[in-house]
Amino acid sequence: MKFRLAPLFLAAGMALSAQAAEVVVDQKDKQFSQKMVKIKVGDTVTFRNSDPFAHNVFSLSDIKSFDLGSYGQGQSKSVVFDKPGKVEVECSIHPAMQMVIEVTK
Amino acid sequence: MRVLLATCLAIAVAPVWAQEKRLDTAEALKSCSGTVTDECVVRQFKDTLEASVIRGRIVYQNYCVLCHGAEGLGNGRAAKLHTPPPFNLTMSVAPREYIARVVRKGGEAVGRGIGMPPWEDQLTDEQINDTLNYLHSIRKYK
Repeated sequence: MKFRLAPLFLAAGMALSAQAAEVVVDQKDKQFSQKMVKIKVGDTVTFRNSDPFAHNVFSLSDIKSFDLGSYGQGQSKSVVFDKPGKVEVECSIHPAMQMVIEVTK
Repeated sequence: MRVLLATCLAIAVAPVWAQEKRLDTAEALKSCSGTVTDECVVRQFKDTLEASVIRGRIVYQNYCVLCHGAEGLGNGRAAKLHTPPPFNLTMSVAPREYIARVVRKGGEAVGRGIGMPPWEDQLTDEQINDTLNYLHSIRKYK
């Protein structure tokens, strides 16, 4: 019985992962391209540096804290958001750069 | 061996402060109407070491406090994100030139923690010079 259900579970898992989306947020002119992004649990946000100098994206939010380190023009770094809630994102090099990611179920 | 000793001696006696002149207290009291405020020092005696330290403190508060903390102890609000943790700047005994390189190029470029960003594109040479003077002023061991 278990083995008959295995393909069903596998298909369901693949369907769920296929629904996970990716949002690209650009960093240009010392600003995030979007001040607010709404995503779902499991989605990915990719932070792309389009400025001719380094950025260092981080968050201290309880549901998702991270530090992407410094990276230069043309490079991107991604974060998967696996819990619902509000995530405040900043750049440690440019204090005025701030945005919010709202993660829903 | 002689070259090594000479190098060590040069580092040991290398000036940590920049070459700004010191504030004349009597002159400051006169020019600042009896109350020597930070604003007065920066405006009236901008070429002094004291003015540089004040400006450096402002740069530090804007850019460095996040990780190194308000008192330079390495306990800023973002410190928990970094391993190794941000350096306790009050305990620094490193030569000025080394600190300048860390500030400009970032930690990774000098074999230190990757959490320290490179600042040379964000800060001017004057800002970096002022910050170095401020960092020296908060050292426990001068």
